[in-house]
Amino acid sequence: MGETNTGVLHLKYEKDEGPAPEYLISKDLSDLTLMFIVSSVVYFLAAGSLAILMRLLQSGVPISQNQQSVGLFYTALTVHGQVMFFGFVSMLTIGISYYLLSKFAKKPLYSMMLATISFSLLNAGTIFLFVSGTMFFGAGWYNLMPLTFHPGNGGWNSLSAVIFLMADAMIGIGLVIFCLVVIATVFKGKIAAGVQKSEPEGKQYDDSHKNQVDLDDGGRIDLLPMVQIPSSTRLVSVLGISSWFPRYYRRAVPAVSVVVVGVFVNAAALITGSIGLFTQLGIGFSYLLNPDFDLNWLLAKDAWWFFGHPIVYFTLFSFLGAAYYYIPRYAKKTVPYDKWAYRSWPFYFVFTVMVFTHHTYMDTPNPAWLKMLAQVATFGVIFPSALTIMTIMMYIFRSKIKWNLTSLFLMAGFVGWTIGGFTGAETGWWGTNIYLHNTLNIVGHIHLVLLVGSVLFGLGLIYSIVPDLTRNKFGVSLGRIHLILTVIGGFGIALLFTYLGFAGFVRREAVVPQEFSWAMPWLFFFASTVGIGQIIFAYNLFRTLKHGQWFKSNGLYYAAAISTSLAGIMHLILVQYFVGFDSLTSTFFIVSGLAQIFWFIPYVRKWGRIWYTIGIVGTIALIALFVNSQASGEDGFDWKFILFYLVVGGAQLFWIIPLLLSWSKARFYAGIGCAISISLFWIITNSPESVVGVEAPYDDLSILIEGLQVIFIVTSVMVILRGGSLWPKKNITAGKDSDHGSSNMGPPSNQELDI
Amino acid sequence: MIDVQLAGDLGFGISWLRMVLTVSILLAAGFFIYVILSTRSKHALLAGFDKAKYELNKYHAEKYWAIFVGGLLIWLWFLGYPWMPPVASHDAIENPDEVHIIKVTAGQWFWQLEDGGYMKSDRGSAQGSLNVQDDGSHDPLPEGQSPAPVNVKAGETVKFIATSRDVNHGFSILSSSKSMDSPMMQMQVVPGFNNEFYFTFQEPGVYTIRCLEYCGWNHPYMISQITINAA
Repeated sequence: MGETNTGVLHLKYEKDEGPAPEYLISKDLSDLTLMFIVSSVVYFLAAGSLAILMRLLQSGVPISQNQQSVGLFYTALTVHGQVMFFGFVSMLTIGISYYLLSKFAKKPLYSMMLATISFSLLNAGTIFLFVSGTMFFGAGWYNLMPLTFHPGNGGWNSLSAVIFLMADAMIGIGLVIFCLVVIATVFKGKIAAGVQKSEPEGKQYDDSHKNQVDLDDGGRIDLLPMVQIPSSTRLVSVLGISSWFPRYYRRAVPAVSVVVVGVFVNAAALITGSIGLFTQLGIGFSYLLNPDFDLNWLLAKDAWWFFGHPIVYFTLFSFLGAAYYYIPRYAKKTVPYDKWAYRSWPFYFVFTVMVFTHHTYMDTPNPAWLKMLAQVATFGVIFPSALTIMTIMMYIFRSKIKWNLTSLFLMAGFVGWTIGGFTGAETGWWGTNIYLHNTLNIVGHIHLVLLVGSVLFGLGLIYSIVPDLTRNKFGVSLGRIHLILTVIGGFGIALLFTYLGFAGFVRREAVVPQEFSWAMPWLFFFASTVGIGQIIFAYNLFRTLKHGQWFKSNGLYYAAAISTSLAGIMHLILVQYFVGFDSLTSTFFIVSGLAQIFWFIPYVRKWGRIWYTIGIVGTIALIALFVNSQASGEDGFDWKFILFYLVVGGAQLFWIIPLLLSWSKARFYAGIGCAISISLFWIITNSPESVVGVEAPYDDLSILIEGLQVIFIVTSVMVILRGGSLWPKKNITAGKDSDHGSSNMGPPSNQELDI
Repeated sequence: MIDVQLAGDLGFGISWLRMVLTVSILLAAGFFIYVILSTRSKHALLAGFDKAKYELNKYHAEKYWAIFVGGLLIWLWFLGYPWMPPVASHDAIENPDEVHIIKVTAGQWFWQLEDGGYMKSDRGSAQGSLNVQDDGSHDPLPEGQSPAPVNVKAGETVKFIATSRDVNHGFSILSSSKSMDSPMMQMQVVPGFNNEFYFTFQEPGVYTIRCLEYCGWNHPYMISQITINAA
């Protein structure tokens, strides 16, 4: 983007988003933050599709044979959990934390090289996780040793376990490097501080914000002067301890920005917790070296949770710290030094490290003091969470808050986190854990605090940070759709899990008993809703990053290139099952797999139509071979029937694009016509066998699908009647011609950016 | 109120839990509503909120809230204290002659239950201290050896001592004979340890034993049953 445009864009940004933080981070860090964000979103989609796979398997879709489908379920469970934790939320946390730290401590990071290394290690670890998944490693995301090395009959091999442990080791080192960078950045040189100036002299109320200095700078915590603070005082300040001092002493300690406090507490807690990860990995590697070692598996388990609970809070603290800045910013409040914003943090730090013990209530050999500690620590961490929620509510309450995407996502996140807090209090109580431990209730709790807690926080921050870094606007309508879909799907799946846990559904069960099978299509529906929302979000994000143009001209090519190369990789993975089986088959798979991977190049380099045609014909031939081999098998499934459904499903999913991009009316008529004919077809095929000769299943899922099709028809008709836009209010001004992408959907044009 | 008789009554029960949590949530919601109502302009001063702070949209709410939440958590802690596992187990150890030992061996993917008789103690010896001689500690049952049949009566305190032959398992007794239901009790079976749990069956009947800790691909099929006879 040209230099001349920047000033205008900046004004536009401030008009939409409120005052931008004053300190400009370096170009390197800006790029690194964007790389963190992009790779985290990619892994979110990948791990999310594993969630969809699990939901499909449990909905009774015949993806593979019984034993294989159980193995596939547990593999998906393992990789989904670890990639979501490390590849997605931790990656996002680290990227945003680097940005926030530099921005609000008002100085560059201690070492950009180390920061880049942490990025590489996290990516390498996540890719290793996927590799172990292709080898059907499935010891659960918490990797409960010695199961890692004892899969029992027909499980994974020890090579996959080694790859998994190496992945965790790389991720662990990456996380430690992040913590060191944060701690070194905070302690080296000067730091932005001094908000305590707002605490007035004399006997006035200490949080009334009447100090003249605050009124001058609007109480903006990003406008602090650089101060040299002695290390010991700095520690008291960045842990938020000074906020609990009596006023006289509180004034004596310079306060750093609350965002820096959040990031620092995060790093300090995780670097302590990572001792647990390395202890567990150490036990694992020593077993691999010599299985005769007399190893303490209880220690391995306790050590894992010593890390496993802080990593949950790791995904939260930086975002909470940021919320203390963003919520008042959009609520147009001046909150330069609010002691209640700082008072949670010492509790967070101490009890996050101790609270792991409540995962081990049911481990009876653990000493009694550990169980006593568990209860105190659980309540100890509820206390600051409750304080945070109240403080944030007080910022919003009776304010004229600007409800943009960031503040909406943050608020939705607070709702989810609060409900998750209540369920956490239930399961973390020693009198009730015995009923709820290892039921789906726990899964519901983790999805409440993560999926509709910290993930919503993180997504909300992306909606503010990416425009700050690129000065490009997100598509607001797409953002709203993303919010609605994520909230509906996320809360749906989390609350349903919670309910099923109360009803006695045990977690980590691949086989669903009859009395709970009604819930599976619903879980699948909610998971897909979240998934569709994230695909829209990914499109919105990449379009914003590339200012629309790149994606428009290259998006399809890259989508085709990625899908064919992924298919090729999977074909190569299949080869291992045919080794020694039939050399012709395995050769065929190797050749076709390599060809598919190779076809990445013609698409990305745009070699021309001949190449594309060959690719299409070859792929169709492969699909035909697959269908043919399946149809001739002795299986009872009619694969041609399933193929028909796949084509129908693909066509229906395709109709998202015309809807979102507001294509012409003709396409809507076509979509409505097709949906009606599919509905009729469904009625015919589900009639008794004697009428039509073949009978399709008449179950919850298909009823759900038909319901959705009816919704599709109705909304499409509404879209046509209202002039082809999902957001009719804006379209009145945008004009009724909707043959091209409507202006509120597309990237901001030059005309829009002029003020 | 609930009185703790035996270690088996470890939990509040789902209905009790529901009641206490409902009370807590109602109290918390009530506090929020109080803040909202009391800070309406004409009520602000009446409710003790400072006028100047009201104008700046900032109240003492946090202070009262912190005290309230802290108090609530301390109340819950004391409420739960008698059910805390070590405290509750202590009651059963007080009366060791009447504790029925069941030795459990877990492995991929089976449960084996063996009757271990009743705990023996030499109460009143030397210093008169409680000295349990046979507390039922055991190694996993070797393969191929058939366990002694189990005969448990309703109302007697049972001490489950579980060991694992391979990986971590989760020993649970569900509240019915259905394959999946809410657990009445559960404990982890960590390999290399004697995992102990005291429990009293109130009603005779057939109960499902189920593995609650993921232990490999056949984990969903690691199910057994225990029959409780009438007293």
